[in-house]
Amino acid sequence: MHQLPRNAGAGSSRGITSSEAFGASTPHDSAVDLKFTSQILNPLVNSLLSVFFPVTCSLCQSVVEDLSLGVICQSCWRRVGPFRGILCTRCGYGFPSTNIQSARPLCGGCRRSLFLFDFARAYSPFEDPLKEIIHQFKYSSHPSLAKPLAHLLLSVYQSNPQELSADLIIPVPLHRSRERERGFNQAFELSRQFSRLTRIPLPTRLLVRTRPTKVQAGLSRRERRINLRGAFEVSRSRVLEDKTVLLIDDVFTTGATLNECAKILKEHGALRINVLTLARVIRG
Amino acid sequence: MKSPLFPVTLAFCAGILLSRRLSSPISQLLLTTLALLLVMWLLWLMKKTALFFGVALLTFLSIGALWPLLHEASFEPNHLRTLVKSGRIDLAEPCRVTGICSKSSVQRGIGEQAELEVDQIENRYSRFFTRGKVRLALYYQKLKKDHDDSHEPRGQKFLNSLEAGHVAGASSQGAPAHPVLEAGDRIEVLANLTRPKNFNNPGQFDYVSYLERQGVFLVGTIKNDLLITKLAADQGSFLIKPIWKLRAALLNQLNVAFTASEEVKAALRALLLGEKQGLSPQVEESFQATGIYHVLVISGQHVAIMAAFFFGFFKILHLPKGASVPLTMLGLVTYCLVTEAQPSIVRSTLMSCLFLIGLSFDRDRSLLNSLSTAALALLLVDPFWLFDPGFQLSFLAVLSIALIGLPLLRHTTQPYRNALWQIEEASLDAQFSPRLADFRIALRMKIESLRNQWKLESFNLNRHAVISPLKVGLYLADVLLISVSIQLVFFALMILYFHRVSLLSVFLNVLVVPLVGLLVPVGLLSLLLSFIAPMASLVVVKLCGWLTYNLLLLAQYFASPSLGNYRIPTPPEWLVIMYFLSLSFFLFFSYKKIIGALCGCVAASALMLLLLQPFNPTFVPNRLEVTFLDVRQGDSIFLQFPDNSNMLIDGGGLLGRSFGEDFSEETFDVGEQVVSPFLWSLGLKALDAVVLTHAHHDHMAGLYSILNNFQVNEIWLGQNPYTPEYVRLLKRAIRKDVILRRYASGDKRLFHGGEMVFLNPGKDHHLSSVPSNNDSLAFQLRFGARAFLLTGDIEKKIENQIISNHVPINSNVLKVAHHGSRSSTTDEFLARVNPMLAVISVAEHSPFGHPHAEVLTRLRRKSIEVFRTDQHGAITISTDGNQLTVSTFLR
Repeated sequence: MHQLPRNAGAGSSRGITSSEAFGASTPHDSAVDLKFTSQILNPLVNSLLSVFFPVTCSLCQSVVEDLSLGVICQSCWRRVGPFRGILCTRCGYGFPSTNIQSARPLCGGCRRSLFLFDFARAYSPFEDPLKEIIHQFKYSSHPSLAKPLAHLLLSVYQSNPQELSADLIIPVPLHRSRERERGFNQAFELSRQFSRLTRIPLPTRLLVRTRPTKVQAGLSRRERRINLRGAFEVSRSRVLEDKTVLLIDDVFTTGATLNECAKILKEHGALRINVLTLARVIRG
Repeated sequence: MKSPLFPVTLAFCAGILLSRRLSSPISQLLLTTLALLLVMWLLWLMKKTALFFGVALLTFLSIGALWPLLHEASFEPNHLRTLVKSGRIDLAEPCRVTGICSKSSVQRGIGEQAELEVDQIENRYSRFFTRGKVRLALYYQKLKKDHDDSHEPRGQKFLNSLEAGHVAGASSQGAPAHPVLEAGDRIEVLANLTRPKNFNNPGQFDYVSYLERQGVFLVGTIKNDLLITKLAADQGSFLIKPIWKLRAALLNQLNVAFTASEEVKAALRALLLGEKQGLSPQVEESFQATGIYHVLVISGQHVAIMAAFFFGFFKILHLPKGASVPLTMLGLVTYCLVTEAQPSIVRSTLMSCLFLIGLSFDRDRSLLNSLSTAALALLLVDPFWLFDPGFQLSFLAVLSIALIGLPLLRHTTQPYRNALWQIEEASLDAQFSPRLADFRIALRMKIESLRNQWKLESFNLNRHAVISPLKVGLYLADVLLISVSIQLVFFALMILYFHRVSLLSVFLNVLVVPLVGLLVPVGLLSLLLSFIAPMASLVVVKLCGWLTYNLLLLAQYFASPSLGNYRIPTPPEWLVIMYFLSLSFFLFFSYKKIIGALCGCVAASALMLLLLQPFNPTFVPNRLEVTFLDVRQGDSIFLQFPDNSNMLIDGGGLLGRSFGEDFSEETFDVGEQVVSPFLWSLGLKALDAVVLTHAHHDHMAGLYSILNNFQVNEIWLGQNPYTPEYVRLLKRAIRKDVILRRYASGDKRLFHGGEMVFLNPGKDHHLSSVPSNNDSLAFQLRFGARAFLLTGDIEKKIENQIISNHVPINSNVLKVAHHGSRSSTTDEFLARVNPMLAVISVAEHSPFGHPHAEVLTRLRRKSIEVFRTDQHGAITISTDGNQLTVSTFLR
């Protein structure tokens, strides 16, 4: 596992471990009827279910006891750690080096103003075990992972409340054909859970992918941009007028997709685009 | 995948098995269970987890042992079962029974079989409001035999007479193949009811328990339509009524919409709706012989196909999971009920539902755990299902898939299937092992080359051209591997229960399973379509008919004995235990090289021994054993000689429509189902001699199957007229290279330490055109100082003839001629024979009044000890030449 050096003083995001994230009760979860379902009914149903439908951890094959964690066991979740160290003030890139003197460090991309969105944060570098968990979530279709993963997003959101605040959540869309193939859109499932936790509205099918694109993996930055050109479309631009948008995806790789989305959203009148992802690919 | 319920269910099953051996009272078991629960609680408090789980398993074991007792105690005092077992109903009197038909009557041989959910039963002395089922055999009024006009709908005559009689709510006329009684009919019948009875021989199928598991405790025969009164139609609970209607409608539609031959229609009825009664014995035999019978009866596989079909259908409709899962489950439960809920269907429906629930909650879809859940659920409802062959076969099949098949797939085809996923993405190659990455690269190159070759731009099209055949290949490999893993278990079970081996069944299943996988959904779809658009469904209907026809052809072709289908005796118990133990050890230790290989070798050799069984049959040396089998009305006598050679005299044969049960000559082959299992239970593969005394049905019918099932060396005959049935037997014997020997009075034959002196037929015996009792081949068997007189069915005339011949016929054991008929066994004859023991081979409630009271009196006056097959079951008389010992199956 790629270990980022600890530097508590200079980091812009406060590190919240995943276990803390799940322990913290959500601020909006106050309604009484909700409490009944979440605190009495759900555990009861869960423990009954686990006799007939046991859950084994997709990573380590041990029995999962806490059933709010999806198909990953507590100890595997504990191995998931947030970014530690110095981050790019704007796009949240985690610098491999600890030896950065600037008070407001910017990464190379941000200095060249490559990104069209205004602010981006990810929970953690795209490494195991989070990498494997995201893989399980996306490709082995374990929808139950959406909720715990959304809690990771929430912990990032809570540590950057001003910068990440938004009027709307927009997931990065999949093309219909790919969504059908996969069964669901991982970004949308994440957004849905996240929207439930934060009560930020999630309009459906606002941003759509109009043509299927090649998978970005394995393409260069330039190829990615060409690959994505004109792939997105906004269906109802009125909704976007002067709004701050929170764009959600699972992985921030080069940012090309998110950038293309941000571009089209801004074209349709969005005021500010914030990006929130589970993981960020760190090179070097 | 973890399966917490698997050990629980295993412990529970072990408990049920234990309760058979154990005879401790209910209170004792209850206390044990409570004590164990207490210990469990204490251990839980002390947090001794390992001990806790150990004791928990013990607890489930004791609950399992307790459960059958609780189940038996749970029948209310007025339940039919309790009434019958306690003898509170006097069955000597005819009973008036009122109830609702729980399913439409189905044709069976020369009549129809109906099942009545009884609510009231009354006879001269008493009247009970009760619950439970009665199975009725309704015989057509000689319909089939008097008229050969086949276009007359079956049962029409019966129906006509029903309606001409005093039947309210007449059934719709004109529609073909309407059963005499429809599900939901409320009827009153007057019938002589009896408790079902087993054939009381060693190695026999326990028919009584089988019926009890179905909820049937009494059986009856109705030979006259005047005894049935239809009180009302369309009764039953509001939940089950639509199911009955749907089933009737579907069955009817199947008859109307499908234009195929009767044979194909019957097969489709069995395939789609689980109605296997219309199948001809030849078709059933061909499917049984080839080991693919499971596709013909609705099996778990069907339900799984239906589940996939429903779920896929709802997915196409873009229904959200929250809706499609319950809808699919509803569809499955309906299908389960419409096909009359056999244990295998219930099992599969339960498992499919569990799978769907697991899917919607994103839980493990562990096959083993859902199998255990289903087993536990069924056994909690009725623990005695554990002893049902169908239940065992169904659950063990899935168990072998879970424990053998799936791990096998995980290491063979599964990696390749994974490697095909998103083949176009080179970036994913790194995730696979080097071999699979190579495989992916090679495939991509192939796709590219195709693209260049065909000048087709679309990557997808080329991809499918390469990948689809691979996927089909992988699927077939899957089916083959699963089939192999099922057969590993099934070989043993098929031998144990059906004495069948079909070596090719592994490969045949690879052909048949996909075929049926296609046939079932297409068939049901076309059936439903034919309701809406009869014209449009014609194409699919034709396709279905064609597929089914080919399925039947396939089975018929492969049923030939030259293709590795053969019958085999019951294997020794230790071999079966050794096989299953070594197989499970092999699975358990497969990761350890040496132990695993060792267990594998043991299992393989045990399997070879099971398939070949090179064992000598068990026998008692230096003794002659004569066993009179219980074949109801009829004779069948088995002799084992001191040097382990053997002889079978007559093969029994039910005389139809007369025995208070649904057995009739058309549907029940005594040779196959009674005599053969007995011989197999002795470990026999061959018979040295088969004797046919005379050509009457109750002596001869069973021999045909005996010739098929055993290697018979010679067949002994007297003189018989050449009736079709007799000629058929002779032809069979000649084809099987059996030596035919004819004997007549005055002949003698030394046979393996015994000496036979033939007494009848005389050299100048006059044959009439029909077989007669006096044709009987009768002989005295002398062994040491002891003698048996085996008389067949000879009557007074022949007895007198034998007396006048002045041959010494005094014997220690007399087989009473003609089942104890008054016309045989005269006082003079008895005086000449002067036996110590007499054996009467006869049915309980014989339709001919056998044995006659007069004969019994004659025997009693001479103080001869009498043994009767109807009362004693199989009777074995054993002698070393001096001493005689008698043992009987009952009492």
